[in-house]
Amino acid sequence: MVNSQPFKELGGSKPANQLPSSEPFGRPPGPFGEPSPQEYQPGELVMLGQGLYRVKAVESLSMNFHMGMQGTIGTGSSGTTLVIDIDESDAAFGSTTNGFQLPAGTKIICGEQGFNNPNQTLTLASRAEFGRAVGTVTVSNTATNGKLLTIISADGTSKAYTAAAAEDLTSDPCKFKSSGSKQLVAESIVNCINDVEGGHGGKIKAELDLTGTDPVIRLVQLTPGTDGNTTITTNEANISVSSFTGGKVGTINATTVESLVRPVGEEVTVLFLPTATFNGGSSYLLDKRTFGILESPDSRKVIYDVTWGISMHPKYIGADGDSTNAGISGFDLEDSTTQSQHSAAGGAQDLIDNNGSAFRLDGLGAHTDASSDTYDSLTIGLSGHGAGGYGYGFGTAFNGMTSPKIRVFQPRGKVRFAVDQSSGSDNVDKAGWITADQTPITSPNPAYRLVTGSGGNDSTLPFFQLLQDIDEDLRDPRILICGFKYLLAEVSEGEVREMIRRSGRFNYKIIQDPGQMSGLADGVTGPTEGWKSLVESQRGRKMSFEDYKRATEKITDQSMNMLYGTRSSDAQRRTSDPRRRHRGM
Amino acid sequence: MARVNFGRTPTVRGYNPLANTLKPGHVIQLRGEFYLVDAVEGLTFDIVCTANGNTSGTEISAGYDSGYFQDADLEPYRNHLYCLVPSLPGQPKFISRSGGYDGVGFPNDETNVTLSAALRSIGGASRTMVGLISPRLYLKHPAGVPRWHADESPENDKTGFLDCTVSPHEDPNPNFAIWIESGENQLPQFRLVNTTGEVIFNPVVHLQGFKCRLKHMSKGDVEAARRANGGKFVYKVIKPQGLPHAGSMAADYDPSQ
Repeated sequence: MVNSQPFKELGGSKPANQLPSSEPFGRPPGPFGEPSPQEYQPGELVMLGQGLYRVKAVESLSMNFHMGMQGTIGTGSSGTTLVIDIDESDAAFGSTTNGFQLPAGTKIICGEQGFNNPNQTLTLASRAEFGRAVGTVTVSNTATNGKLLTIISADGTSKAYTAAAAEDLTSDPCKFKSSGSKQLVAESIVNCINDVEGGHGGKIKAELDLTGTDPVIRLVQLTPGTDGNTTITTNEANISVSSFTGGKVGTINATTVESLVRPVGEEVTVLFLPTATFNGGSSYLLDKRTFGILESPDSRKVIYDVTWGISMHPKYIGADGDSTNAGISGFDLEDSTTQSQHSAAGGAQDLIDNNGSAFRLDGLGAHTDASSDTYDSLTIGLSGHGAGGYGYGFGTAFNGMTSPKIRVFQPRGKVRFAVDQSSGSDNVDKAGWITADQTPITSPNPAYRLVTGSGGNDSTLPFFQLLQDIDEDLRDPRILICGFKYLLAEVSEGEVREMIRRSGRFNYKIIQDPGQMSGLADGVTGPTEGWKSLVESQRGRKMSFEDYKRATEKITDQSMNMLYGTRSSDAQRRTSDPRRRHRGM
Repeated sequence: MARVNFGRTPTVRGYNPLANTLKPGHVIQLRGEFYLVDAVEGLTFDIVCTANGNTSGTEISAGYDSGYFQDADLEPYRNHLYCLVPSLPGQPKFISRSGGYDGVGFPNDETNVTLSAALRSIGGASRTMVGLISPRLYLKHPAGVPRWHADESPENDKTGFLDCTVSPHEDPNPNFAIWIESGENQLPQFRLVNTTGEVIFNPVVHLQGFKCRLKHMSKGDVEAARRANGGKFVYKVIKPQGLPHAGSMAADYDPSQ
């Protein structure tokens, strides 16, 4: 309890279905780091820029902020159909040449984070595309020779793939195998479409899904935009098609597990970031964002003194030795090098399936054609995990924990934790970018502490900006904030005199104004706040030499208080009315 | 430009002792003068070694030697002081499935294995990660003065360098912190040498620590502080350049005075 007059809202709690999901990978094993110490104890004196205060009460707090892509619920969203218009301003999100894929299970938070706004958390039921059109081809049985499957890519390239007795990848268009089993037919169609010369390789990506009764080929136009919304046609009765839809730059088309209850136009945060190298080696710079609940709306003097850590993401090296974007995806429904065994609900359980083909090995290693089996298989042995391959959790292929880069603007517009020469730079190595190497979510680093509410002006609310420049996609990048909130009461002049009279001295600690480290420049004679501010604040008043000297000291208000018993001579700005923020104004 | 980043180990990060090295209100003695610590802020800085020897992307090959270099962006404002701890990111080191470990890199375990006998169990044969490796980092600071070495063997193969064993990036070793003052001759000069026998894909020197702004205290300020503190005057001594180097000892000359 802060004190006997709590401001804290005691409203009803949110139902569980409105709460964002927990950390997707849990915390890495190992003990928690040394907790950040409570710097100030009740009863102690602290010096702020505005003067001397006494700590009246203290309470710990923690917060989670999700730093994924921001967007809005788009027109056409209803039920389990979700359209998201991404609102990020980075040019990479408006690319007309590159899109990306969101995996099934990706979480999406609908509604503003913080406060007691109603939220909804949605889960992608299947993989979704950003900007790119998707179509499907379903094979229900073997095909008849000579029948056609016609597909058009976004650039207008039309190819009619012909069913034939044997697969032929040398012809243009390629010919797919018509016999054997529906699974073999589907696999051959995938080979044809992905072929660079006789197919649509590099323009359309074909993915084979063998988990259902009938194999489904998912086709993705690799070029984003409406040009990809082309038709798919066939004259084969055992093949059904669904033409390409959903292609639109800057838009995600998805199917969700839950039914949408939030309105079109509401803010969303997509808890996923694509790998940086996917987009031609460029990176993704998300817009700066802040969270209003990082400042107390209490009209008394309440400060938050917190440390923050960045979530981590496991990094693998693929079975083939590729260290670039090995990812975490497992048995991927694609025709990768995997072995699987049929589950109890499927067909013969004593068969091992190679590469999702219809041909399998029985327990004695004999080749068996079991094409009538269904394909609800379980991975075995070198289970799919990482590129082309495997991964044993914390075994051979696991390497470490990566993270996005985060930088902090506080006060607004000023980069913190950067060297002097780069504080206004976007240099990804030098301009205050911090990773989980420096401050992980498992052990936030007190060297990068944030203080809000202590400043003498209105802009101590930090803004966070995320940079994705590593070659792995990220699930639910987030910030954990842990720390303390302090209720302070101003110490009167009379109380100070009384302390000096009784003991001759008094001790205090310093709470730094967060803006005053990076805010002051290196001018030799210029005023701390710049000439313009000084002239404006002194307008109509005489300025003594002493005033001038102190205005150009370039030290914080606390140091001014310590050395001269007064704060700097610039006029004190009025603090914001906390009720405005509380009311969402 | 995206780089391959192997991340940090999932183990605990120790409490950062640099967080409390200096705080606002502390007084330090630096080169015989007293300064009030006016403000303190955390700091992070990466130096990517991309020149001289890169093959493609940002990796450095075995045997790469950057030579000494400096980054002018590390010079603080005249009234600022940096305290930075260099550290190096680790890259996984493997023993291949055949038992080799010398320059094996990241072996491809999808290739065929040819058996020399008819019956051998090879199920799941794959490389094994056994540790982390990094290039060596040498330092001259101030310009031209080797650091971190035994007096009689500067820049030797035995001494005077950091690697990810001594100062890993997820837990930098504060014993190797360097203080950087304003002035070009105070810039640290680094040298990165790849002696691992492997290609290093993330040749980065992490620097992390804090910066502080200093207010020079006049004699009047010192006296006022002494009076306010009941006659006591407490301060820390900062020696930004470590021990005098061997040549200056021979000359009985201490550049830090």
